[in-house]
Amino acid sequence: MEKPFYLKSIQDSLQVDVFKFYISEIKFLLDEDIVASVHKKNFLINFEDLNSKRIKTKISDTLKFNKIKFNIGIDSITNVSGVYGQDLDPTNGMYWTWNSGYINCKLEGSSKVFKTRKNKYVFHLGGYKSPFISMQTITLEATQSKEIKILIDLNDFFSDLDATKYHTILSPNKKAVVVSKQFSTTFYVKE
Amino acid sequence: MINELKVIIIFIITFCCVGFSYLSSDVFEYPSYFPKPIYDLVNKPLSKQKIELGKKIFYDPLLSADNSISCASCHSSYNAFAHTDHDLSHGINDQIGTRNAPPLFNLAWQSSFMWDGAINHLDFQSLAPISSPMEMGSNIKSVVNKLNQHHYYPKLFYEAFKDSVITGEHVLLALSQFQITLLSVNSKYDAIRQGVDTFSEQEKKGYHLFLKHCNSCHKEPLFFENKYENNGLKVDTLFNDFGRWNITKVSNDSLKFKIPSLRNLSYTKPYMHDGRFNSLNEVLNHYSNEVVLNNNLSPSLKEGISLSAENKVDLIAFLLTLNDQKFTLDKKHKNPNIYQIHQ
Repeated sequence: MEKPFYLKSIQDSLQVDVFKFYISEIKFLLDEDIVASVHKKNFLINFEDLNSKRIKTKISDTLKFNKIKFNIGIDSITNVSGVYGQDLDPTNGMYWTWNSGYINCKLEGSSKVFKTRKNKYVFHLGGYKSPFISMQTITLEATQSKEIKILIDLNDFFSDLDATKYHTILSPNKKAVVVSKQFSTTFYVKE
Repeated sequence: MINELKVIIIFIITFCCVGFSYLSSDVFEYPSYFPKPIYDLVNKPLSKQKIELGKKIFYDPLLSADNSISCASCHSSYNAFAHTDHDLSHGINDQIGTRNAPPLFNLAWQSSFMWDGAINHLDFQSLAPISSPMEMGSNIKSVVNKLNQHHYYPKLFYEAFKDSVITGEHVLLALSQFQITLLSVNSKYDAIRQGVDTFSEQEKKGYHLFLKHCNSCHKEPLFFENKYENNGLKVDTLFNDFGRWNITKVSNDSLKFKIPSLRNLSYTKPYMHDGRFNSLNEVLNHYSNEVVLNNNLSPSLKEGISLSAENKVDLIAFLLTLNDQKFTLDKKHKNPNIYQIHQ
């Protein structure tokens, strides 16, 4: 986060200032069957907070799984059920105050590729109501081990993004859904 | 063994009685002809400590950036928690907003909040004025920090939530608890429903006119619905406020606003989302003569409402039976910070 990283596709640097997002309902699967799920439902991952990037869970040693499935974002039922604490506490800055709903992902920074004021890009992705549902569910192949490392390739994310069209998203809308889908494709398991 | 069993049964029964008598006594007693509340009181039961705490926060200007404005600044208990005589409400630094502050009562039956329904739950309602630069100009994180450093709030939060570390969740829950107790159920209309009073001849005529022309949207006994309608108001080109459309961006929602309650109209003037009408006469003149026809006008208004001068007087006589003076004078809703010695 401190250093800008070099973006191959644009051959220029890109700075990330804020990168926070929710993941929820983490499940372990053996082929198509759910064999275990993480008890705590929602996790706020904040790249400035080391602890938030590590999720610990207890499952049986003998349990076999080959996939991990989770949502990126907060589901609609949680969105309409009033206030919650901890990771969902509105003091985390991941809740819209003028139009109820959780912000599933915040990604902010700057790069010359964005022709905006101070070359800034701001993505506040959210929305739980049809037709602008931005929560994404993804399933990743995972080899059985005590630690599964999931990485996010932001290089991929920005390479595939049309920077002239997508640079400032601050409310639930069509663009938020498109960018949320794009964001969900950048998760992968490190072998 | 038999003795032990008896003890257990007695214990449980006593517990139930206590729980029941507390909830149904002075805190949240509503008439039998009311529907079931929408707010989840089973999973978020009312507690005396939480209600009192919520009341203190409601009346505390520390919620605003410069400690000048509290919730009560625009929601005065004497006016059924509306902002009487202000068409548009004002916030910090004397800024004027774009809408009329709605009254606060019977909120446990409301499923969305704000004139455009932007807020989907009572718990989250307070976030909007706290964060709006036109209103309190602060944010929940800053409010929580102020409360945590305060000399008596951590103690009160401990008493209410068994946690002296104040969180955003607990601040918002406390505010919900107090606001749920703002029940307006003691109007003349309610006394009539309960068989202890009767309409005058004029009020009765007005009631029949109400049932014919108004009840489809302002449904008794709550006199509102959790719906949005376009009631044919001319667009104020200064604000271009398209109401519900601002939230949904669905063209059919253009110029629709939340259907407000008709209870306590004497205390909550001016009327409409932008406070454009100062009297009930003006409101009825609008509905009978000035409705602007457009595509998504409320179906109930498409045929037009025809009211004679006499009809209007009768209808207003009925509407005044929905005033609940007991509610506006109720001491238990008043500012506790004036009387209470800081602990």
